Amino acid sequence: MANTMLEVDRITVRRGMDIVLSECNLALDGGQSAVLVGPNGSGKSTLLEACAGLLTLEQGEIRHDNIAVVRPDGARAVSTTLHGLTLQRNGAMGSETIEEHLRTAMSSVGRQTDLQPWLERFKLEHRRHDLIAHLSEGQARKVAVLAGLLPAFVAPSPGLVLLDEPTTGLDAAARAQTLTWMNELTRRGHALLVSSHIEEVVQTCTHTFDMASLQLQASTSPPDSGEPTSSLQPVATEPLTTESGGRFGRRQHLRTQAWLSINGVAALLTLGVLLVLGDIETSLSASQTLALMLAPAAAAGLVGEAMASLGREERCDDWRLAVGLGTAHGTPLIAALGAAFTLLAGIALTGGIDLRYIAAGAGLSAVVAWSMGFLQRSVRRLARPQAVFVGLFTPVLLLPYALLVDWLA
Amino acid sequence: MEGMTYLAVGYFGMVVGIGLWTYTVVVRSRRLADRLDAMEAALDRLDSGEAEQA
Amino acid sequence: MKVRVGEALLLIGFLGITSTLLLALLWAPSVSLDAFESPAAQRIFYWHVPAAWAAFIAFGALFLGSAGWLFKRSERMWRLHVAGAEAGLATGLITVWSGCVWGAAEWGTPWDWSDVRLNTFGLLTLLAVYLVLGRASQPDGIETRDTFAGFGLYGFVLVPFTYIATRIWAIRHPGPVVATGEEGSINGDMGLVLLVGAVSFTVLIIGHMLTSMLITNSEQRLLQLQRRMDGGGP
Repeated sequence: MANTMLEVDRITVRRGMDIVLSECNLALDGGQSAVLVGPNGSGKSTLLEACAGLLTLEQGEIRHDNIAVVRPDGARAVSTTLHGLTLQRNGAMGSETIEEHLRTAMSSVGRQTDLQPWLERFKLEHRRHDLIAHLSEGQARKVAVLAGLLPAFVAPSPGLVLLDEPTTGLDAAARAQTLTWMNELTRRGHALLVSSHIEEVVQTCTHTFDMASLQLQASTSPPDSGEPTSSLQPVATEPLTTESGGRFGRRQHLRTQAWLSINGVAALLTLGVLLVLGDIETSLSASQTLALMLAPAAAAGLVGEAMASLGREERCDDWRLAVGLGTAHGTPLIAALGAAFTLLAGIALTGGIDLRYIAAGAGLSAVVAWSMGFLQRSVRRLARPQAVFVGLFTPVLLLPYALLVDWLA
Repeated sequence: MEGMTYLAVGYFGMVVGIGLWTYTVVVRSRRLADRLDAMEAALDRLDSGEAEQA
Repeated sequence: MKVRVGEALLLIGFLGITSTLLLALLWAPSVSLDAFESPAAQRIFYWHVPAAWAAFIAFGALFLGSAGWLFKRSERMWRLHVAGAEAGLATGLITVWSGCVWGAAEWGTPWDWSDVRLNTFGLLTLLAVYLVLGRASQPDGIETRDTFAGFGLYGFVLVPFTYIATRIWAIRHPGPVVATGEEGSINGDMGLVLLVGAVSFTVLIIGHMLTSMLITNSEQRLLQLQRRMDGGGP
């Protein structure tokens, strides 16, 4: 008997002021695909995102292959069974190329395959090295769908695939191809949970889950199973190391030059102000000189982590969180900026180089930028995260700066 | 500024600040109460109109 | 016009703290000139200390409300969270402002980055500013409440830290003047003015929180009525 890949156990989910799901149960075995059916606002995306571990539960539990991944007390575990996720938003940063994003998606299961045939079927081969920001809406959606399906095709064992409106925005050929792949994944033993309004999708799935009655029913017209399961060709794969959030963030920082244009400019402006003060070193105490020397490094960190705001684009951070990839950050680059600007400020103020102070500058920028990134991300659940003032906490981050100066001096 | 003058200015700032704050809290509370009364009256009229039509 | 308990307490509290101010300036004895660099500015502590006391009450309410919302999903506790944040903002600002005025006269600088108690109190006040402004910028809902209640809990962790900081890291900040267990730290008349200040600030803060809870209750009721008018609510 196939494993139960997904168990939704009496969950209640609130969004805004409303209870969207109440005491909802659902179990899905490997080899089954269920489509969530119901009108707009009936909770299809809510259920799908809850299954992906992206929402807080008021009660109940969600298990992937018998392992609790979300509990109402807020406890979460990384799912090793979730082999693909397509959200309503595309989950990709505009500064990633198609190839990079698909490799990132496959890295969540630790295997990769040749992308060419997959891209050809979606007529994306010629855009393989293009930035996602440069694609049309339909093309970007195709990439998001591939990012949800490909990891399951290359995963060493069957798992769970969650797809929110995968065919919306696709042309007829891409829609048919998506349905074929969904069908094939089901026959390979994966469990698929799909949200869709489209009749073709309903006909492709083995089950329907009615959002009004919260009941799972076997489809009255089971999908055409095509060739027998035994004839399915295994997808040729090779190992792929999971890409850490640091590596991903560094790559995006270097491509967008956000580390220079945001953190670097803040440090440069602060250094500029120091230079305007002229030859003041002789009138300053040792601790005052050190405070000025470390000021550009502190400023580099205080302006925040660009990846935290870029991660909100198309819900990239949420997608990475759900598929078990780390949070994107560019802390080492910002630390390097802190070191470089402390060196420059040291030369400008004292004419000398002190490695201790350079190391302190690097550490200061890193700690402050990381803290700012944490604060920026702590508001990710809000309806208008850009409207809250996390900048109010920046004066507090002057405290480690002051303590560091006190300690070093 | 020296001594008591300095202190008086410091205190004055605080008294004005807390006075204004207290005033805004009371005004907010009263305005909300008025809005609630108006809304409840409007809903009552709406309900009684529907009842008459029925 | 109907006068509510909260508003009456606000008025009594305000009169009380104004009286404390007059007593502090005109009646309370001055301390020995050797004890402080600026004996006149020292009189600010008749407001500074009671305001800090009231701020701790407010931040305590904020913590209780935050925990009650996160763990019990209690509407009453959410109202307490909002009231604690607003009252914490008012009293926190008074404490920080009076501290700055005093510090400028006593230390020669209004702020000392190496004083951890001062800085953690500043952080609590910033937290209150953040919660009040942040809540105003968001639609009410579980996501908003969970996020800000989380910040409320985080903020309160700093309160015991602040308390310990007064004993371990106090560099310039005077040590605690009350409840130290030592005799003679403040004399009778000074203690009386301080007591009047503490009681007044406590009454003011309770009045503030009651009014604030009433405001949040009214906002929620208004939202329900609006939804009913839209045809979407009960």
